[in-house]
Amino acid sequence: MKRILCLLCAVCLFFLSGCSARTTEAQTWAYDTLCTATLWGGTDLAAVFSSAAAQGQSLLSEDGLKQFTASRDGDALQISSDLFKILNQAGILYTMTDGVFDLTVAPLSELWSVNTATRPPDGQSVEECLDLVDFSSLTVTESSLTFAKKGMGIDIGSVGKGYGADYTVTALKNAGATAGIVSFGGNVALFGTKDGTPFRVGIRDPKGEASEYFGVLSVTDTSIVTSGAYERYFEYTETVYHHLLDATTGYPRQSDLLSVTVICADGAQADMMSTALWLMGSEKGWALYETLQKTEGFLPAEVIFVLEDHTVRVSDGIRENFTLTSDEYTLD
Amino acid sequence: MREKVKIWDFVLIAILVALCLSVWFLPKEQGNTVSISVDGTVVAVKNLDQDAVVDLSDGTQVLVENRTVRVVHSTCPDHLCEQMGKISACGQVILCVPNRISVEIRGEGVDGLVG
Repeated sequence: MKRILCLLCAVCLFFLSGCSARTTEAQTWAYDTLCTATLWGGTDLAAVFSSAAAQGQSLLSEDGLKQFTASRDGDALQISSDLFKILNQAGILYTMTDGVFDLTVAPLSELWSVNTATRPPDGQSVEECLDLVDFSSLTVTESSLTFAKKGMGIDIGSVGKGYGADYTVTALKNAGATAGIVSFGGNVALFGTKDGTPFRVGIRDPKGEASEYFGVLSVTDTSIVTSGAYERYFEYTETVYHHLLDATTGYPRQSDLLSVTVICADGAQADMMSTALWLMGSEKGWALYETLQKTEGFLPAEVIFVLEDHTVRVSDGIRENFTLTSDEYTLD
Repeated sequence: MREKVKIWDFVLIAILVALCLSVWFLPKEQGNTVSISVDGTVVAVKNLDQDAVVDLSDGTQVLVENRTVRVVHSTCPDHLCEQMGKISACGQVILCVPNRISVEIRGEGVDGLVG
């Protein structure tokens, strides 16, 4: 009798243990946004997550601010190897977009301050700022970055969150986490699987509420970043001014894309690519994507374009992992 | 005394067995949307919160009612899809093989949101 009892207990324990894996929910602030994580395995992961988020941020920007800014002509800064890699990719994107995507857009971003502004800046100020936006005037070596003019700066906004999410994933893996999903204000990085099944990541509906999505990606071990003009903007005399600036004109860029999502193992690359592709629009953006697939210094990536007419264009390599969940959109 | 112990043993065993088996009878996760495909292409996605009638081009009619979904009319020869009744839980599917139609319940279940 006792033996049967023991056996039954063992069976019950087996069932119970299979039901729930231990998870850690963590939250912290970095890059002026809420960063969250759901993690499996390991111990003390919440603390690891917070400190890695802060450290990743300081690797890009010494004072924890959003950008590097030159305090005088010829100002030079020490840079990390990660930032060197980012600057290299940014330089290629600058050339390929004819300067529309420019990581030195910082003075313009500051001038527009889309998050808090209620009206656009005057044309004169925009013109003056444009003089300080010129990636080609930077001098970059493996350990230093030199600005030509006082007031120039690197805008970490289009790369920081993607980089940061990625950076915490490396730290979390080293700390023993077996799987997890990390979000830096909507920039997602994930690793491992949930009991063998890939993570399901919803892609924000650009025309919907913040919690709504138009499709779901089943993926693992990658970063996912979406760019679109729908999140940060203000309206003035019935015109919408958003945060994705054209560095050649100094004004928000018109694009026929509602959003661009990039799926790539390198979060910083995904972040910059999504911005650059959005700025280029559907035709030129897709051509740029195809070119980047063959460009040295860029990892392979997959993309999802959402066009103004609500068609969704998905690159071949991710098509089987993508499910459309809203009938407001149609697959191309 | 000995007899009594045995009875309680059986009660305990019965409870444990019932607990183990209950895993199989736990309610399944309720779905959130229904996705209707013809020949592998999604033609409609409906929220289960709203009752709706979906008419497909081949004359098949799908009804969303009280968070359940069923095929109410089909042009196929066997009408098996109509006989499959209502579905409402995540992952449940109604197939109409002759017309290559699939009606699948999908869950809320995303682990994260990007964008």
